[in-house]
Amino acid sequence: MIREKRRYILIEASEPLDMDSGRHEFERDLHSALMAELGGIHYFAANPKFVLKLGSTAFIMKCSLIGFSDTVRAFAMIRSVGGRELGFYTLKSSGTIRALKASAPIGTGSNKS
Amino acid sequence: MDFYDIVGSECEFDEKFAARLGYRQVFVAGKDIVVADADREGPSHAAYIAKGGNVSRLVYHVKNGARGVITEDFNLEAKLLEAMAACGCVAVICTDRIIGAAAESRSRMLYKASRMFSNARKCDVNIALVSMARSRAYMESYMQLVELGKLIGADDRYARHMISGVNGFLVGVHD
Repeated sequence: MIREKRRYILIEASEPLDMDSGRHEFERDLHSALMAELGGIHYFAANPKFVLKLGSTAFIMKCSLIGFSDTVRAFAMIRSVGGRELGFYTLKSSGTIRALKASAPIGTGSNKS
Repeated sequence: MDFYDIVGSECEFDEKFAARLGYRQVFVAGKDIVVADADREGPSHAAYIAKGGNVSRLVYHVKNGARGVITEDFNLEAKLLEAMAACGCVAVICTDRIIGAAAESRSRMLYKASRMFSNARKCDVNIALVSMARSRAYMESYMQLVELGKLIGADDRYARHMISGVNGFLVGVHD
């Protein structure tokens, strides 16, 4: 079976994310915002997925390699998630999660075991 | 390759944050480089960017030492492009106006920015891609700016050149 090539993106939000009360709710709002920016066809090609939360503002998303550029652009365009004003900065991208965890911003708690 | 950005005077950030976004330095308009209203103000002695919509006023500024030009609605007329090419002036594309636009007018702004990009390239005018962010939420990482540069028609190499050249073209701090 041919394995799909994926890219992991480290993203930081401009404001702390309130995910503890409802992570799934945030994920659903984020995917809606991505869908609005990418459009159905590009969303399908990029297939973005929420992978890991790192501290209060940072998290890791994964997407397909062919949809990587579109996903980064979409995060540049998103201005609000779930009615809350938010900006997203794509800090780094890698083929593995481990490399991104190591370079996560200080204070995200990613280095704690 | 070092990357630089220019943000608006109201934008608040620290150096650590700028480094996290992948920039060697983020310049502040009005502090590190003057952004003059071309329609109202005269040429400045310091390094400055002329901003306005009146073509003849912009041409006057270009001929009197403006390092860069920001036009209204990404509109670069032939007369202005000729003057910019002759004087080595840089066309500045601000992503804040694309990102900050409402969803329905954003695609129009993207189209205009791509037209500005291709016209400037045809006339051998250098282009700088900056965020000119109004606030911290509107800032972009260098990776996002590269992708936005590619979206308006640049290849990967030129997109990076548009961001790394901000210092050399416009501010000239790290020469």
